[in-house]
Amino acid sequence: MNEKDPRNRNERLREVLRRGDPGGGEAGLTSDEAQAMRRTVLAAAPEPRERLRLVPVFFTAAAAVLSCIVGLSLWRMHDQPVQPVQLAAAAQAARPAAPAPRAVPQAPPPPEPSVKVAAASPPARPRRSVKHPSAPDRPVEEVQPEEPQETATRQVQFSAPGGTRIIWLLTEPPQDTR
Amino acid sequence: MDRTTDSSDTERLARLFDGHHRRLFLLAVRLASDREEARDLVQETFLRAARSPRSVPDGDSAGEAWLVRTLVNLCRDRWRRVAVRVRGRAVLQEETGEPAADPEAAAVARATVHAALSALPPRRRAVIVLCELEGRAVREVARLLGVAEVTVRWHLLAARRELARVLLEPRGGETP
Repeated sequence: MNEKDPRNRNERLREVLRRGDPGGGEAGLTSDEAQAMRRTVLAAAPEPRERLRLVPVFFTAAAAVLSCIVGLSLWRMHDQPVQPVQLAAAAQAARPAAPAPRAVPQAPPPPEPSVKVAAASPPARPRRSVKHPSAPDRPVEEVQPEEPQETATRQVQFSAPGGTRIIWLLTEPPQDTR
Repeated sequence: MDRTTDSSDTERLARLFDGHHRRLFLLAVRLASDREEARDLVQETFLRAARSPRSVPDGDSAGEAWLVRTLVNLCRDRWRRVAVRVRGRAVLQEETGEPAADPEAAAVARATVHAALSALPPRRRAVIVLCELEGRAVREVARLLGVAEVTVRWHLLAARRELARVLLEPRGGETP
């Protein structure tokens, strides 16, 4: 038998390895060991209900947050502009025959814009206001006229934050027509 | 649907354990230093499967290959951690140098082979165990370990050479 022959050497090596196989006399895990290991392994598997419980909670919270964001955005977009009816009511309240005029309760006091109500000499038809397209409407503060005027036409002026000046001409029937 | 999937994961894990724990333990005994370490290795392998059941591929043979790869990787991690490579060779020289200390020839042979195997790197050890002791073909070993066949052949050749130098050559053969 040639010792240098690789095939022969591999056969001898295999024989030596199998004769001294560390697992040769091993019967494997005992049944108690196997059962204990099985219990340990299966107990380590993640709980399905724990994972399931998180799914609806997550989606509910996400939906609530999304609703709040959308609602706030819409509320800010639809900020209330100044209504002509409110300005007309303010001018009506400034007349002498009317009781003591008060501020319009719906309009909170803004910091910047101002409104002037003054008499206008030429009677004219009410005109529509021309506003700057980018300037947002804000509630205006009413300024009391210094003296009530007897003319039938009243003028309401106010300026928007963008610099646009808005003039409202209100035509009313004369008081002495009765 | 998820509950069904989870229960099937548990069932699959149980099937995997029942089908492969014995074979995996024998492989671990041949790769590890002792029986306790082999048991720890097998349990850690199945625990990894339990912690991430989706990472275990479907199918019996694919699942077995995943388990073998995980076991060999765990062996390699331990081997690196303990750094027995240098110390193992020193122990090997001592153990193979005095085999007559054990009175029983079988125990001596087992200790000798075990020491020789311990001196090999884990993947090489796995290759020689799977090929020579379990009698698996090179292609199957490559599939189980997830490497190319040429890699298996290369590890097999190197392992045979190293083992032959330790187990087949007469003592003191290195010195003329």
